[in-house]
Formats: sequence, C-alpha cells, structure tokens
Amino acid sequence: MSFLLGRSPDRSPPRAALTHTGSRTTRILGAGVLVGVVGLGLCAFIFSPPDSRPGPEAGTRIGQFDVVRLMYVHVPAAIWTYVALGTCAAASAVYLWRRSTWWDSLAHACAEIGVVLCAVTLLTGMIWGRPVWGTWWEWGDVRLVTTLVLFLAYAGYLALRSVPAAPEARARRAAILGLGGAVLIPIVNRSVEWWENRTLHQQSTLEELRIEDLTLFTLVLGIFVMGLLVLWLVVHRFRLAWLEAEAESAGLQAALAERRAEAAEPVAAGAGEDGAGEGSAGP
Amino acid sequence: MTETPADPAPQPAGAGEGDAVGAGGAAADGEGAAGAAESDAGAAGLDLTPRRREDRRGRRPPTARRVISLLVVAAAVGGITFALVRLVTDASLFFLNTDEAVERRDELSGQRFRMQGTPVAHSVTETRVDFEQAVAFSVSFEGVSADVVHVGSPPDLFTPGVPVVLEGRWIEGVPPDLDTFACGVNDGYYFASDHMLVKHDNEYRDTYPDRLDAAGAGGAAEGC
Amino acid sequence: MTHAGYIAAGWSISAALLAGYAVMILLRGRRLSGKVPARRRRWMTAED
Repeated sequence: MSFLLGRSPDRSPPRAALTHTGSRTTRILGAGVLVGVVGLGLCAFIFSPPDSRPGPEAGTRIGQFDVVRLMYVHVPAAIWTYVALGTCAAASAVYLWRRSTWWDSLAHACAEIGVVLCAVTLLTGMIWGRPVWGTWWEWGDVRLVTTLVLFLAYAGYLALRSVPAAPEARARRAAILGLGGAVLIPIVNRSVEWWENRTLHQQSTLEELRIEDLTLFTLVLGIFVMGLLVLWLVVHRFRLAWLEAEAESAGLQAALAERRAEAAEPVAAGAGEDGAGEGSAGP
Repeated sequence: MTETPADPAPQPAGAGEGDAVGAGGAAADGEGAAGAAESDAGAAGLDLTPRRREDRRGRRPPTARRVISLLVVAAAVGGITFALVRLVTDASLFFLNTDEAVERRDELSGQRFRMQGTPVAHSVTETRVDFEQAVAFSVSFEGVSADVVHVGSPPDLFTPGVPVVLEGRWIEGVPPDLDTFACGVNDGYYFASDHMLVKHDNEYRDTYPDRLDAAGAGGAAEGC
Repeated sequence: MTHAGYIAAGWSISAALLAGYAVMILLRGRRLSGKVPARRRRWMTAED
C-alpha cells in the first residue's frame, strides 16, 4: 500500500519545494479519473439504452426508461461507501494493535471519503426514488434508514475526531468507533434480503446478474472510474492527515522550544498572560 | 512501482520525540490534562500551562471548537436514535403480499395496512370516487389476485407488470360507479387504497426468459 | 429523454460534491505542506 501513499523519506528525501500532496502516482490516477469520467459520461448518456422491456399488455413497454442513468452514479457510490468505511474499520483495528499514526491517518482518510460517498449515495437514491417509487424518502424503509444511520455514524466519527484532545486519546477513541461502526455495513448491504417486505429498494441487480450488454458495461465502468477516484482521494487525504499530524507535533515542538527559551530567561517570560508566575520557576 | 519501507508504521514526530509529549499534546490543545502538564513541567522545569489568547489569534478558540464538535457528535447520535425509532415504530412500510393479505382478510378487517402486488394486464380502469379521480385495477402475487380502487393520481411508472405497494384497507362490496372490475376477481371485496408506491424490481434486461418470478408472474400470465 | 430534470440533478449534485471535496483536500494539502518542514513530509514522493 505504501507504494501508492508515498515513499519513505529515508530512501528518497523530498525536495524542499514540494508544497502539495500530489505525486506522479496521483497525477496518473487523476488523468485516469478524468478520461474515465468522459468515457462514463458517453456510455451513460449516449451509448447505453434506456431501461425498457415489453410489458404484459401487447405493444406496451415497462421499465425505468432514462432515469436508470442515475444507477451509474448511485451503485458505484454505494459500493465504494462500503469499501471506504470497511477500510476505515480495518485500519482502525490495526491502529488499536500497532498504535501507529500511519493506520490512524488511513482510517481518518477512508472515513471522510466514505461519508462523502454515502452522502452521494443517499442523495442520488432520493432523486432516483422520486420518479421511480413516487417518494423521496420513507422512514419505514429499512435500506434507506440503515444507510442514513451509517452516514450519521461516520459523520459522528469525524466530529469526534475534531474534538480537541491529545493525539493518542483522539486516535484511540476514533479507532473504537471506526471499528464498531463497521457492524452497520453488512446490515445495510443485506437489509434488502433480510427484510424484503420492509423496503421499497430492489434486491441486488449485480448479484443475480439481471443486467446485460451496454447497461452492464456502463455500470462496471462506473464502478471502475469511481474506484480510481476513491484511490486518488485516499492518497491525497492520507497525505493530508499525515501533514496534519506532523503540523500538530511541529506546533507542539515549537511551543516547547518557546517555553524552554522562556524558562531560560525568567524575566521575559513574566510578561505572559497566563501562568506567568510558574514561568519563573526555571533555573 | 517504488520501494516499500519495511515497516509502514513509523510514529510521527509527536510520539516518542522530545520531552513531555503526552502532556504537551493536551497542553497544545489548550484544554484539560492540567495536572499532567504541571507534574511534567516540574520534571522538565518548564511552564506547560496552556496559553489561550496570544498564540491563538486568527484560529477558532479551542473551547468553541470543542463545543461545535461535541454538538455535531450529539446531533449524529440524536439523528441515529430518531431514525431507528422511526424505523421501528413506523410500521407503515411493512407490507403484506397480495396472497397473504387475501388469506388474512378476516383478521385484517377494518385495519389499515400495506399490500404488495403486480397490476394485472388490461385491468386498469379510470373511475371516480366521491368526485375524485381514481383508478381501479387488480393486483396479483404468486397466483392470488385482489381488486383495488386507488383514489388519487398514481406514480409516473404505474403500469401493469410493475409491482406496487398500496396503503389502505379491505372493503366489502362493490365500489361506487363501478359494477365489475375488468379482468378482476370480483369476489365481493376490494382494497380501498389512498397511497401508492411503485416497487421496482431489479430487472434491467430487455429480454428476460426467467422473469416469471413471484411478482412478475401475475402481471404477465394472468391478464385477460 | 424522460425524467431529464432528475437525471441532471442527480449527476450534477454528485459531481459537485465529489469535485468540491477533491478541491478542498488539494487546497488544505497545499496550505499545510508549507507549514511542515520538508524532512517531516513522510509519505510524499520526491518526484514532482
């Protein structure tokens, strides 16, 4: 995994001029995403047919017609939500074992991306549900509500991470929640099978392969392109999380250095607003 | 692609480097761990009490950040509780399939519930109930059919062959302005519905040799 | 095209969310990497 996320500086020290989280790997991935999005757009809107088949009455067609084109965003977003949040849970588990910032940063990155993807899934699902089912949202629907719970659980995870705390305490707390939240993933995914009479949501199309030709190709392409995008996001977001951890400890080191300087010169330190008295306790 | 470090688990500089890091982490956040900070300060001869104002200019004060974050956590917990309570108590989406609803007709008498079935071919007739637009049709599931009168305009994709979930109750007798249901069972009962949702299946193929499944079979096979 | 409004809304909301998030990550990375000394930027590749 580290070949994607970046090199260890011990072997190839970064240049001082590097002021972003990009690299050759992310540029290749990013170009792939852009080309993929164009291809997906062409397949989704031009090459793939609307969903339609002969109805039971002669001469009629049934199906979702053009609104099926929302599937090419909704299904990939849902699949990658599971993958991203599942990776967050796995990384959280490893963090609890190894206690290293590398795994904490990976869990953080995956959770944030999972929450964004889950939001995309929920929004496209609502927009798809209105014309097809005749409703934006149903509170009694087990697939819809469990997906919302998954979103809220990991949004809560992100909020918990932003509560000011010592880095290790914050990482430990987050890891427990990140790991525990993963219980929801199989529940959300299997809900349409387990509670068939409690959801408007259809069962999986891909598992039963009730899809073919260009519709299937476009869906698989959508999953692939979304995967590239997720990988690109994870790499950048991981590096950002790493920078955040470094900046936090660099700020701490600077503050410590400042206090050391103050301790060496008690008179100058006496001007501090808080705790000025103790500042003069140094040698 | 590139070389892989033997151990992808280096600690950031924060852990293990420098002195008083554990207490300092809390101190840098400007909150809590005051006791630890003091004891470490004693050991290192440093003042590690948080400085709140002078070096925080331009940044959101940590107390505000803590309050906002905790509010978001609370909102998430509240949202989850609300959603789960709605899911458990709002039984409205729990539906019976047409065959079960017909079998349990006596015990469901007068009760409001939801029923799933597939509209039967050639059964859909426009009608009126109390001067309101209505549609009469029959639904079928696993070979058992029932007649329905739905008041209101049906969803866009309502058509024979596509399963629907109807909300309403059983009524004994015949609906006003309608003597018989075209292609219906006409067994002296009809389901008076006022809320209809389309439950689309997972079929995306143009040809579907094995599509004569439970819901689809009624619509396709039992038309008249 | 049937339901063009729903299709346009679904695709554009998704694109806006994902692109907005990607841009946000890039900008935060640029801002932060200036503050972290080069020797501490582990996991960043050296090639530009």
